[in-house]
Amino acid sequence: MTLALPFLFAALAAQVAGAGDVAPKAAEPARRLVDQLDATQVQRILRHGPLEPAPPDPTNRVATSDAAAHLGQRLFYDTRLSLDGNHSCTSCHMTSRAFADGLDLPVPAGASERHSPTILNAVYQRWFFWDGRADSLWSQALQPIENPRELGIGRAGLARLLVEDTRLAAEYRAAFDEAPSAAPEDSDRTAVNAAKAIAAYEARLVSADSAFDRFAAALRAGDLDAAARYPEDALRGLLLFTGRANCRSCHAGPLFSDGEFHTIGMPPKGGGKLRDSGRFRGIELLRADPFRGSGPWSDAPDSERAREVESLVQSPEQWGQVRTPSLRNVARTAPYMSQGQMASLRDVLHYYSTLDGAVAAGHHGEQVLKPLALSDGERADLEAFLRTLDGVDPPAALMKPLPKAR
Amino acid sequence: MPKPRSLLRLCASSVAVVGLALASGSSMRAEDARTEKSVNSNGGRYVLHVKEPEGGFVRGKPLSLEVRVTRAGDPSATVPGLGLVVDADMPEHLHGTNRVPRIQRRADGSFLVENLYLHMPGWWELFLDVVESPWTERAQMRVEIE
Repeated sequence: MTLALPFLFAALAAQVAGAGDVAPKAAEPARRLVDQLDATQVQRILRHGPLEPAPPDPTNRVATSDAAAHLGQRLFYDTRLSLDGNHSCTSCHMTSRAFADGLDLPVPAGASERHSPTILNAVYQRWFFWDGRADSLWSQALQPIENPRELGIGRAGLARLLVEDTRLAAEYRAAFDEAPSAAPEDSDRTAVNAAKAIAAYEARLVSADSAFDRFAAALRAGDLDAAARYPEDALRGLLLFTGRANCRSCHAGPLFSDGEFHTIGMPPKGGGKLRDSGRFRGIELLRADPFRGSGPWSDAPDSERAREVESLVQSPEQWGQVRTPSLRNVARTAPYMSQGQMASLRDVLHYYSTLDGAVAAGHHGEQVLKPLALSDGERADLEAFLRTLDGVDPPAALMKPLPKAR
Repeated sequence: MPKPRSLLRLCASSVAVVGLALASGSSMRAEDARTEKSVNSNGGRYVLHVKEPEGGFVRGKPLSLEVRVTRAGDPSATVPGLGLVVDADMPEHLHGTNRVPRIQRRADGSFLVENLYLHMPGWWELFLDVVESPWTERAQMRVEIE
């Protein structure tokens, strides 16, 4: 960054100097704002991209396997993974809703306490679930299968399905070079492999190339004409986001999430004080999870990534903390917050502007969490910016169940 | 001392020369890029010589530091037999770091601090506690993460 910036500003200066030579391609006000960006603003904007390939997960030996992803896609849409035979992973992670469900709380098999987040770009996350109680995509995928309030078929049930369905069995063999087994001593291995296959599929559900990404790329290249195509109100919102509103404090980096855990005083659904223990309990659950990265089912239990769990701090201030959600595709994934308390982006921005109803939490004292007192125009600008974070969907072939065998 | 003819032969292979220059240059830059700061402990007993992470302090990555402790007034000799505890806090946020740094005492008496993880931009205060029984003395330094 230090080396690149002088080149960037040289390029910007050259563009500005030569601006009179070409016909304007964008509205003048947006161009003026782009021209006025200072070094700090540019540097902060460029910290939000680009979205590079996700880091490898050594705990899943089939994370990048085509055969495993194929099996994973098959399983992702299979309602036989649920006890009632009516639900699958896609019941809460719907392709038509950017892999969220549009509900405040999911209801596949009974009340659940937390909102279903999108799994687009989940491969970039370090911790999974709102409380971070899983440390890999594959160990995350196992939990709804186990939980009777979600899919609930269980590891043994999943292993039986893979053995009894001849097509699934064949695809399992193609992915793992062995036959699935539902024998008591083998069923965990079969189920874990299936979860790793689901993770291999989910790892391909990447959505980037948003209007913001194109703007940032143009800025990085010093192409002011292209940069000025970014909507003016969105640029004002972006400057608020990285400036006075300081949203970037938690919504940092290319994912627009620091991947860590915070409370923002959000009142729980139904009112009252915080009831969700959040990250405080999440760490305990992670440490006790036999399917964690450093556990016996991991393919690299001694890897640096797997052993991160050992260095996690657990303290009372983590009570109620939930993971910072990514803001990529945020306009497509309403409602918001860990219980879907906020129906719209407008509601979220109103909350940050006023902190109406905020409950006391032992974290992020009032020095940081202050009402932003945003004007109507500023809220509209921030919303316009957030809407430019909608990315392109993954390839169409990944957005639907695989065709059934003839 | 290489002979002139040998030098000419080296120069004839421009790719090799450029490669050599790049390799040695980048290695030197990497070495030079590590800023070392001296910090007095709050009680004045020690001076901590802190070699900052390569690339500086950045958000969201495990960082490594090297720390050498000398007595105030005698900056040349590393004090042997000390302990070191490292932690970081965000005073404006009322919270600390989410991971425990790993600290390893090396044969020369200095310390290698790894896995220092600063997850948010803003003001962090880095606490370096020198333990020399029966005293523990704190040194601290301000770190700004952009």
